[in-house]
Amino acid sequence: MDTTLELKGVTKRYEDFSLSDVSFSLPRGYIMGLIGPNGAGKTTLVKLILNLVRRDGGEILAFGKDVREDEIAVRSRIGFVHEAPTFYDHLSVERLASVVAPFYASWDAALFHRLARQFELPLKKVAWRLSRGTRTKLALALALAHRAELLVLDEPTSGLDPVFRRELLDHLLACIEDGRTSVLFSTHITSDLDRVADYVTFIQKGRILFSSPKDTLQERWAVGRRIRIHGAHRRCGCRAATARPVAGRHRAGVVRGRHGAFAVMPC
Amino acid sequence: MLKLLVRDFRVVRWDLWLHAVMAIPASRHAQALFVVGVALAIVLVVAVPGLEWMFDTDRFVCSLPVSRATLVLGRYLSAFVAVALGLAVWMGSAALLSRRFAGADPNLSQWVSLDGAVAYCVILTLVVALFLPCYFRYGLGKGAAVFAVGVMALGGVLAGLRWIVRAALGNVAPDLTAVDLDAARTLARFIWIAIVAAIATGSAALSVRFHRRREF
Repeated sequence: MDTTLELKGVTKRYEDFSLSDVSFSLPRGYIMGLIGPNGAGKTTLVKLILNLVRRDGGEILAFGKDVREDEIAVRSRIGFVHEAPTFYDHLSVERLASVVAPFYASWDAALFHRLARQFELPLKKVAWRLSRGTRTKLALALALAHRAELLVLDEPTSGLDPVFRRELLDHLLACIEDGRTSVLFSTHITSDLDRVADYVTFIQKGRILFSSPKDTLQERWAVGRRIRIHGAHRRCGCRAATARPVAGRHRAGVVRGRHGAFAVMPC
Repeated sequence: MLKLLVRDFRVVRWDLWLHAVMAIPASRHAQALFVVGVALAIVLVVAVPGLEWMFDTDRFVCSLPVSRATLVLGRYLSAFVAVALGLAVWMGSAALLSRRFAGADPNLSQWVSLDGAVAYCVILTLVVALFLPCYFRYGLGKGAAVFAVGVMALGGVLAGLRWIVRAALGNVAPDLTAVDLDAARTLARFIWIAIVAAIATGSAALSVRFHRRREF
């Protein structure tokens, strides 16, 4: 299978936190949800992919090229949406697009205007007057208008109301319809994964606990209908008993059981 | 790099700068006009970093398909274009004032000269060369503070050097006046330009290094 993004043994150390031996891959044309609690390392991972922070070890390949060595070639094919997107807020949406456009050889102005209409972006409005949801939509429109082959979104749905969130996820689904675009988005809202993700990567305290197709996870680790788990307990078969107390939570997390910590992903 | 220059000039709201340009003709005293011209150029140089700091766009800009080195060199290019624009506005204003207004400072015409332009460029190039590495290393807030401390330290060092040179060459100075003054001035201009160009080059290299290390 053609791989869009591949991380091999990536490490990043801070004083109080470290990402250790992060490895996973995202095939072309699929959506991967990167899930984990706050402070697990999702944003750091996204920053590493965009080369905003320097990795201490390992390899990050996008389209088969190293994101650090072939920085410009790789980034010109990546669209990004940061958590709480920032722009030159004194500029109008239209002017912002004209500032960003020259950086991308494949920028499609007509596509941007089509997306702006679709997302109901007010072209003449200055960015600081836009709501959080509209800013995220603007960031997505800017990311899509240069026909990005990989979209990297850092918690795009956090802080959005359910209607906006649903719309945004629908747009992500529409993005991959062409079969060439892949999406990696981080979230801590598990219902987002259920809706759109083909692959799920769970990160906890800087370590990848699992990275698998969503269907495989559901088939192998579903407990009843409400919870999926992964961790030490799967080997001994005692997951059902320890999983029960967390059923009904709406966020992923870690539960301590007889055999140590394990990850839970409530549906 | 031109893309970055275009970006910078699109980001700046030029209509707002017209108010600042208006301050130039208001200064009829030659030295005041020079100071206003220099201040205007400094404001122009700091404008885009200021906007980026205010709107926290570093992460956004660094996610675009541009290398960190190009980003830095683009900022230097924008700064020097801003200096050139400031020079043109200042020189134009000074020339206009000295010719058209009777109440203008009679010394004004002396400033509209090659020496005046060299002085203007030397000062601003030094400002740019000191400010941008601080900005790329620490960001605007902390960078400006480090820059201010650096300028004061540099001022102290230069004043000390001046004192030492005067003390050491005090007796030679009268002999120097005998040397062909024009030749000495031309040599001094070239030396200044060479020193400032070397400082600017070193500053750009340092800024690239600093910016590559920064994490967003």
